[in-house]
Amino acid sequence: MVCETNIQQIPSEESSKKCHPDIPLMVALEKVKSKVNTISEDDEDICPICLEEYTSENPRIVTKCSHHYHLSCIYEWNERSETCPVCSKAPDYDDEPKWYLVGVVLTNRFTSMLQL
Amino acid sequence: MTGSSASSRKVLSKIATNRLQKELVEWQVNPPSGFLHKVTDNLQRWVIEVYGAQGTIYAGEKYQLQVDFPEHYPMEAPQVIFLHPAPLHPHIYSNGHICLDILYDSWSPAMTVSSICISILSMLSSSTVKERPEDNDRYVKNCRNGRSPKETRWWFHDDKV
Ligand SMILES: [Zn+2]
Ligand SMILES: [Zn+2]
Repeated sequence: MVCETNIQQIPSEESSKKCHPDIPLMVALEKVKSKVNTISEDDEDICPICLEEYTSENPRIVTKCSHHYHLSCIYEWNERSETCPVCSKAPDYDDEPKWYLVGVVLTNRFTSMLQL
Repeated sequence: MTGSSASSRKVLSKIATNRLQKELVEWQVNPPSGFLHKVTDNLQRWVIEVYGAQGTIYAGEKYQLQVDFPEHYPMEAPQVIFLHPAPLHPHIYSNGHICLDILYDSWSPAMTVSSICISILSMLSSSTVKERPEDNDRYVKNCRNGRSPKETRWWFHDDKV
């Protein structure tokens, strides 16, 4: 409501902050700012589906098209669609055994599990 | 794809809640330019102001997008519509429904509210005429019972506009 003026001007980060003087939220934001500054496909440490980090319990897997996800996240997506969420590439059906299982996995135990 | 109309909305899953909280924080820190989201307590419905970009036929105009998130977001696309009055655009119906493939068949869980907003602004910005889709009246009439755009079987026009 504070922002009705300046329609001409595309709101910058600055002006949108002024519109939400929600102090506790802003303080919280400052804390996480460095961490979530760039949610992007290029972020190696964050799964682009759930935006959570990779852990040893929930490790990163890499697809043939070089995109990475949590195994559980890409698995759930592949129940709905076979395409890669980032690049939309569909698997080749002669890929074995499942296209997205081919690639680097963080833990050794997990790698050997997948190769079975 | 299973229909998830606004009338049958369920609470967000834990994964959806977590992801939306992260998106909200990211939005606060780094909002897409040309958009303003008035933060409320309602994580499941975002109302976002859209400012027509300078140098386009929508310059100086302001519209509102309503984004409703399904229980299984981001595995399922959010429902995105323009609130009344919707911009005059060849792919935007007068009831606010938007013909944009990423909102339906081409949805991917790697997309975010920000990336949707950017696509919608780019769709607006590339338009050279202010007019409704050819089948506007027929379509809007069909939607009178409150049908969600996600239940529409869309076929997409060219990618340029
Ligand atoms: Zn994930
Ligand atoms: Zn890919």
